[in-house]
Order: sequence, then C-alpha cells, then structure tokens
Amino acid sequence: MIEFSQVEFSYAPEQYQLLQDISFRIEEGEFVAVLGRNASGKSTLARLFNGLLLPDCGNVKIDGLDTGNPEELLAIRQKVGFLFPSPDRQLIADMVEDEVAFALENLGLPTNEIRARVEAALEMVAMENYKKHPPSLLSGGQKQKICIAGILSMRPKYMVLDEPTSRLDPAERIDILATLMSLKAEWGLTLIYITHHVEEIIAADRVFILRNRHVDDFSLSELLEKQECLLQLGIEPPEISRLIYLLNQNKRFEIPYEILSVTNLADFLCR
Amino acid sequence: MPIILKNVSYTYQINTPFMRKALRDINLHLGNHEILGILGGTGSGKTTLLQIITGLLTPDSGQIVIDEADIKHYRKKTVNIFDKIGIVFQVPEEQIFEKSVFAEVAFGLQKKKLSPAEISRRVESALLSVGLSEDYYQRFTYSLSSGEKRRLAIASVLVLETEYIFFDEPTAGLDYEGRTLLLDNIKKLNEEKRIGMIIVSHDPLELFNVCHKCVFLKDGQLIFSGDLQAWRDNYEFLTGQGMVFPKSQQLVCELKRRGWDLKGEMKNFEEVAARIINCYDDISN
Repeated sequence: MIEFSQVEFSYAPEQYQLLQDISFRIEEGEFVAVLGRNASGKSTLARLFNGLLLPDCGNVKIDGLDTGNPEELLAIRQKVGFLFPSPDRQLIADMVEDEVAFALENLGLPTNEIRARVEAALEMVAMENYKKHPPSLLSGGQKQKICIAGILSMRPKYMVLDEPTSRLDPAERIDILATLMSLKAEWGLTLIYITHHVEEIIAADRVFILRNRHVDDFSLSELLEKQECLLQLGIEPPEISRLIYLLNQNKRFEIPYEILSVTNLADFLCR
Repeated sequence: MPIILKNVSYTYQINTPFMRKALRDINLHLGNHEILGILGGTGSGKTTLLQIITGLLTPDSGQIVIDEADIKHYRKKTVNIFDKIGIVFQVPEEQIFEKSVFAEVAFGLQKKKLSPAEISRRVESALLSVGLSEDYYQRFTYSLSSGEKRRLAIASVLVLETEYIFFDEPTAGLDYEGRTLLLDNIKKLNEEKRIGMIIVSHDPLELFNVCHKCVFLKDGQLIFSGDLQAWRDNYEFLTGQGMVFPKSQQLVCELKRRGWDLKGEMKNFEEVAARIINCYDDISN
C-alpha cells in the first residue's frame, strides 16, 4: 500500500507552495490516474512516490517504508518503478538489450535470469527485434517503449508513469495500455498514471485531479457527466463523451455517458 | 512560394549493420501559405522528413526546392535557410538555456538589428500566443514545468516571424488549454500572416482540424495524401495500413456504412454533431 499523509512540498519554500496537505492511500493492484493542468504539480507528485523528491512536511510510505529514511530508499526503488516523461533523459546504454538489463545487472541477478527478463520485457512492448540496436538511433516513440521495458524487467510492484505515451502513435498507445492492463491483472501491478488524455484512463479505478495545490479524488463516471467542470479544469473529455455531450444538448437525445465506443454509439443512434 | 520534394530518399547509418532506409522516394508539395499535416506511426520517417526539408540531413537522392531554389543554394552563407523556416523540435524544452523567459524568447532576435521596442513587441506577442502572461517574463526558465517549457520553446520560434514554421509533435505534453490555444494560434498565424506550416503529429484529430491537407507515412513511404474528405473516402484502405482515425471520424464512417447520408467537411466535434442531428431528423421524418 502507498500512503501519503499530510504531504507538503515546495521548490522555493519562502515563495510558493506547490503541494499542500496531501493525504491519500493507494491499495495494491489499483489503477490511479493523475490529471491536471500544466504546472499543477503532477510531475512533482510523481517524484515523491520513490523519494526522488522528499516532502517538506508529512511523509510518504510504501508498504510501510518511509521515503524520508535513506536506509529504506533502495527497497522502495525496487518496489516503485518510475518512468520519466522524456525518454532521452532516461536512456544510458549503447544497446537496447543492455539498456533493459542495466537495472537487473545492478541488482546482481544471475545472467540467465537477466536474459529471460530482458527478452520478456522487450516482447511486452513489441521491441524484441531491436535488441542489438543503439537506443540513440530509435524514434521518440520507440525510445519510450524501451524505457517502459527497462522498468517492466525489474518486475516492480508499483509503477509511476509520467506521461508514458506522449510520443507514441494511437495504435501503440492502445498496445502499451493493453500491456499495462494485462500486467495489472496478472501481477497485480499498481499503476499511477499521469496523462493529459482521458481516453487512456477509461479503465482507471480512481482519478486524482491536481488543482490549487490539492488532490481531489474522483471516479471517472462522475467526471464524464460533468464535462463543463472537466473542461474548466483544463482536461479534455474522451472524444466519444464530447460528441455525446454535444448531441445531448439537443433535447431529443438522451445518450448515456457509459457509452465509450464508436460501435455502441452508432448502435444507439440507429435504434 | 512552395516547397517541393522530388523523389527524396534517406538512409540512416549507411554501410553499417544498422543501415535503415528511413525515407523512400518521397514526393511532396507544400503550397503557398498551406498547412500540411504529417501522420504516421513511430519510426515511419516523420521527423527525418522534417530534418531533410530544413537541410539538417542531406538526402541520398532526390531534390528539395524551396522558393524556387535548390536547398543546396541555402548552404551558402548569404542566404540562411533558418531565416525562412522556423522549427519547433520534438523536445523543445531541451533547447532552453537563457535565465529568464523574456531573454530566452528575445535571444533569436539579437542578430536581427531590431529596435528594443520592436523586440519587446515581438516577444510579448509570441508569449501571449502560447498563453504565457506578463507574470512569466522574469521567471527563471529552469523553474518552469515541462508544459510551460514547451510553450516557451514554441514562443521562441514564433518570435522569429519566419515564412514557414515546422512543428514536430508540438502538442505532446501540453494540457487541453495549451493545446487548444496553440492550435488556434497556428490557424490564426496562417490566416493573418500567411505563414506556411508543416505539423507532424500522432493526433489526427488536431491535424484534421487545422491542416488543409494531410499525408500518411508508413515505413518511409508516403502512401496517402489528401484533405479530410479524401481520408474519409479511403477509410478502409487507411485503417488497413494501420491508421487510427479519430473516434468522431470513425463514427461518421460507421454511420455512413449503415446508410446515413452524412455530407460536408465535418472537421471538428461541433460540425460532426450538427450533421448527425440533421441526418437523424431526416431519418426520423
């Protein structure tokens, strides 16, 4: 379980407090989406999960381990995988398979185990044919997938992803999400997923919205019905929900917001 | 003046084990004051294509003509291609180096011999069009969030007021407001200042909304080019090629397939919803 209690954070304490009195719990196996405007503190919040940043007040506990205790950081970082928004800042090795193996080598795993995990992780992101390629020669989206594989190979219990699909094409987004969803089901992987695209988090158990230094906890269905609120928060509703909203402005339609697929909406309109 | 590409090909890491053909026989025409969208999967050659058109990469074969002069002409010191073309790179936040937001945007104007008043005017208008208010002018650039840095980097290209601007995934990482504002400004710059643009994006929704025409790249080949109507007319073919249409366009195609008589351009949600309501009324009557 991840527990934030009364966390406060600021980069320049005397000037501006970015996060204030933030408390929440995330249970194992949950999929929590984090939404919010640019500069609302999403990436800052993400960095508090594994002790890359430490709270000014309050504490962050991962399975009871405190990120403020330097002796517990190693254990915390093995549990919490972290994906940075810009893959170029995360890639260090000169070959894809070395990149994915890097963390595993540092954990001192046996060679066979490392090989098997690297293969499996690259397959999960459909990059198994690029094992011998230098990451620097890959496209932005491919680099992003390599970073994701690097984390998956560690078999983390929790995974914090800061805009993991910003450079992927729509088909790849669907693939990566499907992979993450299946790992959630198989391993009980807990996902903390930062994004600007509501479309990607339709399966989320909970949605955290960051605004005015606080985190508000919502369910997705609540949000979809209040589209004006969502837009006011600087968040774009899924395409289908936007269409339903516009159609429902016309009194003869009463289309339920549970509809999220094209086929279902077409079926409804053709009744 | 148009930008024309004739049979352009490019290979990465030529004569090495990593040799990869990134572009094959690309023919492209960016008309006067046009906005062209480039769609395609990751690794399909979109970024390479932008780098070729700006002379950052030299093609293996083929020709690039910008304003009736071959691109080789711009290698001479007298005519600088970057006076004509501004580029917003894929990770623009990595190009930031000045201390304050204002200085960062003004940097590109230093060599242009402009009056301080003109510099201020341009910087302010560029920052305004990406939604960074006066409060930001003296902010330390490294204190900005990644979304704010992106807006700043875009402003520092807009400020140059070049004839063309190329954007490589400009909206990745921007929030809804940031995206809407940027796309509105792209349209406005094109309409008012007649700036020609190329936008590379993964999001067909935003491209269909602002571009006059879009091309589709797959494995380095340009396999389709046309306006939104043409894309919809070739829905089956393009879907088969791996294109994922925006949901609103999928719905239009699905309803058409079921016999609905939906006509018109339908570039955005409002237009799609309006056409559906009209058509629904016709069917009900």
